[in-house]
Amino acid sequence: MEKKSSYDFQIPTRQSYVAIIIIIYKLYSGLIRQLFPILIVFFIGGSSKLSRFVPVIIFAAIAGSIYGIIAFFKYYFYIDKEELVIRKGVFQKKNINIPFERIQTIDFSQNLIHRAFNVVALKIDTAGSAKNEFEFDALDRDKAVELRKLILAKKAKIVNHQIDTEEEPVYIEEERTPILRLDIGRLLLVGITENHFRSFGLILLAGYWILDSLDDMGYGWSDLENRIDIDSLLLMGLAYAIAVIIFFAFLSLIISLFRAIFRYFELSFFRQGKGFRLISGLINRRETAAIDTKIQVMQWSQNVLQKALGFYDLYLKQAASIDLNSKKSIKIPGCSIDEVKKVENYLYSDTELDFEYKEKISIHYLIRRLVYIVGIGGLVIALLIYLAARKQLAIASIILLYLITTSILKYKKLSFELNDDMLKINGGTFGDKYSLLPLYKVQNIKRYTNIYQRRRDLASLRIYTASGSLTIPYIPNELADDLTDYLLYRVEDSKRYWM
Amino acid sequence: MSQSFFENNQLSVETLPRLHALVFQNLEKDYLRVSLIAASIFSSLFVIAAVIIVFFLSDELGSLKSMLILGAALIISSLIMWLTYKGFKFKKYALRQKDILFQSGYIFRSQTVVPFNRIQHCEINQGPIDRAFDLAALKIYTAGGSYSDLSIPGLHRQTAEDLKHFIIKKTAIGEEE
Repeated sequence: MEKKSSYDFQIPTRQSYVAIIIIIYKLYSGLIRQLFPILIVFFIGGSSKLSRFVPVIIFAAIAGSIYGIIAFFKYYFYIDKEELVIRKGVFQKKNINIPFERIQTIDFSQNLIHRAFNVVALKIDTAGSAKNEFEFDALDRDKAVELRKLILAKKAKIVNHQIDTEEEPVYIEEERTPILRLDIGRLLLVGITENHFRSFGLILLAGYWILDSLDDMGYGWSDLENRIDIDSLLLMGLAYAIAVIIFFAFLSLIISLFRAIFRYFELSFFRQGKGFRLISGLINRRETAAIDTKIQVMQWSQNVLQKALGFYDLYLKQAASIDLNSKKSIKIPGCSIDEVKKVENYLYSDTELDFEYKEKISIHYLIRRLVYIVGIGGLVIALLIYLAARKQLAIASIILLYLITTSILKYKKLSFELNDDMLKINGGTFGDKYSLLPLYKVQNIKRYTNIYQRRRDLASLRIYTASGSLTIPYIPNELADDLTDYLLYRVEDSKRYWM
Repeated sequence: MSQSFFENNQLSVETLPRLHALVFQNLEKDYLRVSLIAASIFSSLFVIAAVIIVFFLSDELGSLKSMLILGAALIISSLIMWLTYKGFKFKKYALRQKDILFQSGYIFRSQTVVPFNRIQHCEINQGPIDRAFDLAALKIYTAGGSYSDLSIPGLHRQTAEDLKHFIIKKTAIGEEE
């Protein structure tokens, strides 16, 4: 593609006209999301009230549309020497200059509107201080590709002149090596093996919220309570309870499945240049990038269900500018161990990945937890026995048993491994979880002790990186010191920049 | 094959500075006063709040409920004072060639090490009470997030300035290399 760019980005240009629709859409979807409870109440609460608000709605629609159109026409972007310049603002004029060398990634995403008009939204992520992310609402696809190519090429030129490091910029046009593609069968399996507790939580929340809103309007939950004697319901007994549990389990499963399909439809994850790229989504197609140098921690985990199928969720945790937010890390579901290893080899090709040193944590980690759990749990149970509250007693015993089991499992799984360049922390409860951290990416180290630990010469280490922290709890004091000394030595001796 | 961790570590024992061989520097004595003043202001506000709550909640001042609330407030505020007093001794810092350490905490003790070549920037903070005693706090930021930022209180203003200059010089050298 040696053809010269067919677009002249030096001239101030507007976005694609589709941006008007996107701006208005974003405005309303934000508004609706915030006013959602009120709207629901109006819809359920009868049409008499609704009609009174028709003028307000019409006014809001017109005002919003005018705002969108003005915002669109006030928005220009152009390239000035070595900067991307954006001028925008309806009420307040804003000039944004982004020097090319600070641009880290340029990501595309498409929702349904974008796809209908063959345009893309562009997200530009820059290094350095927070709030430096920047978004184009809609650009023609060809134009966007062209712009991305141009910016990254120019950036590469600048960067290469300044520093001759091994950290080369990502060339978007570089060859894509596929790592993972989720076909429909695997996608369904990913959905089925998701963490259903989260879906269950969502159901409970939604159910509670709907009942609460209905209650507020006088349709009632409390009425229901009066009409149906709760005790008689309970008397229906075990069969009823099991039916409810099955129903909720089924519902959770369905919701997990739908979530997975929406988010991971036609997921493809591939290696490109010195980074990774992930494209997925049924309605909103999202393209996100993770650059090697920005990735601090690599993490892969599996729950029990995933373990049965040999699936892992892979997380590439990237450095956030200043605020740590989860959006910076990308999640790749449905990886087999081969794919995890492939990513590992891409990321750490120049480092030793065999660990000869492996250490478990102290048994006191478990003992202290059990003392707390059994102590507090025992008190509660004693109280319930005293009160002869049989139902609550059963629930409390189950919770206690669960906590004891998970503590034991957690303790058994916790260990860490170390070599010259890497720290690996193994954990998990029913499933497994592994975190891999190159030592030179450590930011700082904190050592904690409580009274219990001091009496037994133990300490916990927390290792901070630019994408969150890793903890090694309950290891002997001396080991904690040695480990800190060693990590510090690796960090302070390293000439490599962590990002 | 690379050597295992311990073999490697033992080779460098003599050359590596060791953590537990470190002598920590105490904070300025005046800082105890500063923190006690701050704690007593906080505690008295706490007690005042409790009194107001009692005043509005219960009609009789001598009732059991009001006594409980007041008692709890008094116990918590004296606990705060006591912990502030006890904690002072444990707040120490140490400066090394390539990193800075700070430890604190009476019941839950923590020790943080920040390598100079990971410091983003640092600043000097001075509260109103600090100013009266010519003290300042040195705040050190890394990319490790707000939980891991280091703040060393109870330094003489001049010491804080000196430390800051020293650290900035160190980080600048690190970047040139």
